Amino acid sequence: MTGTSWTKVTGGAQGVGLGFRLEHAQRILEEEAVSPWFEVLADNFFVESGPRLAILDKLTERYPLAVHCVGLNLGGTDPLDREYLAQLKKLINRINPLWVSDHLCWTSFEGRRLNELMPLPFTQETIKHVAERIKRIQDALGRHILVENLSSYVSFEQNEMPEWEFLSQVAQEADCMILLDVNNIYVSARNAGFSSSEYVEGVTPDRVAQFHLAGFEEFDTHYLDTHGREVPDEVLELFEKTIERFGPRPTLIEWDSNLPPFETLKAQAVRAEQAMSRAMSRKSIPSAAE
Amino acid sequence: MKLADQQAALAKWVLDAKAQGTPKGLAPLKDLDAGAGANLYRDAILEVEIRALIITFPIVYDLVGDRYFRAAAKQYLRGEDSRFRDGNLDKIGNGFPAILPTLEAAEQTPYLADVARMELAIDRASGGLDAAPLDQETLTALSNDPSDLQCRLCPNATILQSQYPIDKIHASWLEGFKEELDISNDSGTTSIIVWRPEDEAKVSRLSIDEWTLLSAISTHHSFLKAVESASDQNPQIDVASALANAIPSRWVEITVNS
Repeated sequence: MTGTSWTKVTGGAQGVGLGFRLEHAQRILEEEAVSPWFEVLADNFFVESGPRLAILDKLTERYPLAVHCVGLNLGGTDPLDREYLAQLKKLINRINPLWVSDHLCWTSFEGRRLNELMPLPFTQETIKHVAERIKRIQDALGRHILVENLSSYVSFEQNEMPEWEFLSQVAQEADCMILLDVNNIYVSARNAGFSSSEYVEGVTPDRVAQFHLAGFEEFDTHYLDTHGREVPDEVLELFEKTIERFGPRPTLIEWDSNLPPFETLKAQAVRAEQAMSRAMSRKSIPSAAE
Repeated sequence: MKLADQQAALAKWVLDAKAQGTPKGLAPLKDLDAGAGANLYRDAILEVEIRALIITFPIVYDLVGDRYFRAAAKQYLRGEDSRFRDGNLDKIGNGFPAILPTLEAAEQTPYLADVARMELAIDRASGGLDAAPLDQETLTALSNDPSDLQCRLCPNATILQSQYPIDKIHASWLEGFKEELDISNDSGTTSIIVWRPEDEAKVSRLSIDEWTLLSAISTHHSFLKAVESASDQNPQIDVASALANAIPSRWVEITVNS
C-alpha cells in the first residue's frame, strides 16, 4: 500500500460530522440530514446481533460513516490482537466506512487490556515498531488507516524528537494518514510547555486527512482531555490556524461524557463550520505583506 | 530502555493501586511531576472499568448506591483476589456476581449476587445471536418422529434460579423503584429466563415444567434425551404445554439433525 494522499481516503464526505451516541439514535434516525457524516466507535458494535446492530444498519443507510477504534494497540509490544482485527474487519464489511482510525498509543501489555490510551516515547525505535504494526494492520484490513495524536500527561526520558516529528515520521514510514486532534494538541502543548502553533506547523501536511475537536478541563497543574464540554474558544482558534495550514478537512465534534442534547452538538458543529470558513477566507486573501 | 521494558514498567505501575513514586523512564511535564502524570492514567483506567461495571449492572448500582458500588468494584478490579485479569471490557462483569456475597454489607443484601447474575444474562442477551426460526421440516418431525431432532437454548437466552424474586426486582427497577419492594425469600425458588425476543432483553418467570424442560435442553443436544431427562426429573411434567410456550417464545432452537 503506497502513494497515499489524503484525498484518496476521504471519499465524498466533508464538513463537520458528529460522534454517534446511542442516546441520540432516535433523534438522529427520525430526521433527514442532521449531520454530513457520523463517527461510530468500533468497540461498541462488536456484538453478534441485537438492537445496536439494527440501529447501526439504519445509520449506514442514511449517512457516510467513520469508524474510530481504541483497541488496535498500534504501539503495543503484545502480538497484534487477531480477534479484535477480525471483529473490526467484520464491522468494516458491514458498514463500508469512509475512514478507519485509531490512536498513536499502546493499550495492552502481556495480554492485559489497559482500557486507556497509553503514551509512547518519541524515538526511532518506536517509529520503526509502530510503523511495522500499522503496515500489518493495513494489510489485514485491506485499507489505509488514520492515526490520531494523544493528549499527554507524562514525558519520557528517552524522547529523541518533538511529538509532531514523531507523528509525521510514523505516518510516512507506515504509509498511513493522520487524524489531527486539535484539542489534544492544545492540551499537550499546555501540559508540556511547547507551542501549539509550532506543533501544527511541524506536521507534514500531505498526510493529514481529518480533524477532531473536543473540550478539556482545567486543573492547577495540567489540562485534562475530557470530551465532556463544548469546544473551548482557544481550541477553535488553534483549529483556524490548523485550517489555514492544511486547508479544510472533514472534522469531528467529540463529546462523550456529560452528553448534552443533540441540538447542543449540532450547535458545536455550526461553530466549527464558521471557524473553518473564517480560516478559509483569510487563507484566500493574501496579506499586504505578501 | 527498550520499548517493551518501558511499557512493562508503566503497565505494572498503573495496575498496582498501591504503587507510589514514579514509574521508571518517565520524565515530568511543565507543572506536572511524572508520578502525578502517571497517576492520571491509573485513575482513568479504573474509572473506565468502574463505569463499564455500572453499565452492566445498573440494578445492583441503583440498589446499593454509588459509594458502595464503587467500593465493591474496586475490590473486584484491583483487590488481591481480583478475578478481572485480562482487562477485556466485553467480559468485565463475568466474575462480579461471585464477589458480591463476600463483601461486608452482603448480609443486608443477600440477593445482590443473584440480581447481578440476572443482569449479566441481560447484557449477554442484548448482543447475542437470535434463535433460528423453526422450519417446516422440524415442525413435521416434532409431530411425527422426533428421534432426529437436536435442541439447545436460544443463543441469547440464559435460565437462572434464585431464592429471591429477582424478576420482581427487575420489573420494579424498570418502573424506577416507585413502590417499596418486599425482597424476601419466603415465596420459594424463583426460576427465570432472560432472552431477547425482539429488540430488548426480557425477563420472564418460568413454571416448574418449563424450568425442568429448559434445564434438560441446556444439557442435552438430543431432543428425545432432553425430554427423557426432564421426565425423569419430574414425572408429572406436561412436556407439550411447556413446549407450547417455549417454541413460540423462541426460548429454544430445535433443528433436524442432518
